[in-house]
Amino acid sequence: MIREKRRYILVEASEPIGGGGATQGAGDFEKDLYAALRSELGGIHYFSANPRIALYIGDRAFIVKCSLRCFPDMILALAMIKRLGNRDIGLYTLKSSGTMRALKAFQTFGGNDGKRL
Amino acid sequence: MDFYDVIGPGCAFDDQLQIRLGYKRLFKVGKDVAVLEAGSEGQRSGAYLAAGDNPSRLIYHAKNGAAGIIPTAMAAEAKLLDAMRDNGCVAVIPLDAIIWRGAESRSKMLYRAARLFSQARKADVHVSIVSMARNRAYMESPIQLIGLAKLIGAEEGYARYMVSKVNGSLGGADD
Repeated sequence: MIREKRRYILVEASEPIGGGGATQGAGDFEKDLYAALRSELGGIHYFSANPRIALYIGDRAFIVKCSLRCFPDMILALAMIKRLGNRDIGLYTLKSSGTMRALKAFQTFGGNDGKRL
Repeated sequence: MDFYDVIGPGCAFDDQLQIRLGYKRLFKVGKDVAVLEAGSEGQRSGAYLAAGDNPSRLIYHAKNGAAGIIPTAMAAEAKLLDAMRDNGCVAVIPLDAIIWRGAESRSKMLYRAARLFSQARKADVHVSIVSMARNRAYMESPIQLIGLAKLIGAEEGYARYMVSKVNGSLGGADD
């Protein structure tokens, strides 16, 4: 069986999302995010993309993983999401990588300086 | 590569957010660039964009120094495209018209944007894609703008060019 290749996306929310993953707020956010992605991608693409939040960084940023072949659709879906639950929230895609380590290092060491795309 | 975007007058941002998103500069409507309704003629100073759906008014602005034209109906006649090409004017696609929840159905607006992109490129007119964000939630990062440019028909290289050089020219970025 061939292992599915994954892509990791560093995302920042325009509003605090209750990061840390342990709070009630983060649980609601996760549920709302998956529902919004399912709505934007459609059921079949959502199944193929299989998006999952891999890590929360601070109270706004998080890393979401998805399948490599659905990565372009995930970028578009994240751009289209402007409301989660009953809150207006925009999601900014800051960077993507094949490993989570690269994204953690990117976020830790100053983030986007406008020349790394 | 340096990236630029144009955001709406009601969108509050700070320099840190601009850097985190990866932009060299965000042009704010009303501060860095003006957006005029196509009905208002007269002499302008500084960078400005003309918005509207009356072709003759838009042609007037294309010939009188507008950096970009925003066809609100997402359609442009051949005469308008000719005037834009001859005067180095850019066709601007504002994403808020596509993404906004209250807008016409999204697929219809995407279809119109793709048709405008195709018509403009065939007429040798450069196309710009800007968020025109009404608030922080509607802002997009350069990666997202490039992805949306590819969705309406741009190739990878030209999509990057749209978000860098073409968007930069709207606010008078000199590089």
